[in-house]
Amino acid sequence: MKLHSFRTVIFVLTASLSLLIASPSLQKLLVFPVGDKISEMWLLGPSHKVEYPSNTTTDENLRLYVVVNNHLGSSAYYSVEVKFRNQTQSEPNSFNHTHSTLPSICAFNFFVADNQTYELPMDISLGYELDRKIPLRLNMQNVTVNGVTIGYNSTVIDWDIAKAGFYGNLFFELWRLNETTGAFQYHQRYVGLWLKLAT
Amino acid sequence: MTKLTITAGFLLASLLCSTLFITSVLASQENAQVAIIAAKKAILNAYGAVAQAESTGADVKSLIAPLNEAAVLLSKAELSYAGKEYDLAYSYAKQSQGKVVGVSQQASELQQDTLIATSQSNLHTFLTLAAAVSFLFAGIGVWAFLNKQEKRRSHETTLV
Repeated sequence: MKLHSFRTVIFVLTASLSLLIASPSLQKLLVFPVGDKISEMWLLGPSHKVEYPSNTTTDENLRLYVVVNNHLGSSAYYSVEVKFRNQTQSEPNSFNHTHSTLPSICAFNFFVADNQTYELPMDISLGYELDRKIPLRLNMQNVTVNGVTIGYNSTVIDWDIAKAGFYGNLFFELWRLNETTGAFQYHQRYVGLWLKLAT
Repeated sequence: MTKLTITAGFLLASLLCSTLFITSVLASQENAQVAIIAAKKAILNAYGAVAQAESTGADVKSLIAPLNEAAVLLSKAELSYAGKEYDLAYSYAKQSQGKVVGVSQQASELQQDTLIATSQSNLHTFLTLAAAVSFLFAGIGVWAFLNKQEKRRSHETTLV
């Protein structure tokens, strides 16, 4: 058996061996498709489920969880702004990707590593009373967040004839630190719930 | 006269106490505000170092925990400040600053380690590819040599 009879076999063997030797290095050079870079945000109710309170009374504690998931490809510095509005005040807009122009009641800052989730528990209660001069109007007094009471008397809620009640919207906007400017920027994510305010 | 003196003294004392109290509250508010601003800056600086390390490929997950502790304390400070609890806000802000001490240094060390590891990895990749290519060319060379020999033998056989 002459060696030249096996020249093709020798060539195939050396080529296969070359590929085997190069494969760990080739893996580093290969560029795999990357998914969308996004942040996810959702709200959970008191029992850690997608069941939310729909009614509240003055100074009644509401336990909520705001959850944020980072798929941006790197760690991120987030801020969740807590806001409350009546039916006519500024709201975040999904189509225009704009945030509410209302000032926030408070904000919670936190970091989330890539592909990690952060859960933010919150205890919120709304303090309000009926307006003594104007019928069918509620005056907001304060908002208590995690035991700290913050004055919030710039919002009034009028009786909703269609829904037969006083309704307010508690919502949470997600902001993210822009590393270039060093300021937080609206991250086009928000969650919230409408509450019927009982008197 | 005595009554007037006592009343005047009492009013003066009340005024002095009120002034001292207001000054104390204002100082407390200002201290809290300064501490909160300092804490924000410290966290931003620390995060900047962490983000830079991460951009070089460093695994910064271990540094997220102290950053988060600092951020939670800062949120508590701001919340307390909004609720006019200035002493508490000051305390939280100071604690927040303390949490990020050393984070920038750790991030920098991680970055250095990653750069060295990346450099070694790149060298290893280059050498491996060079070896593979050399092996492939050697295989081609052997195939070409044996092919040439085969053709020569066939030619010799034909002549005979």
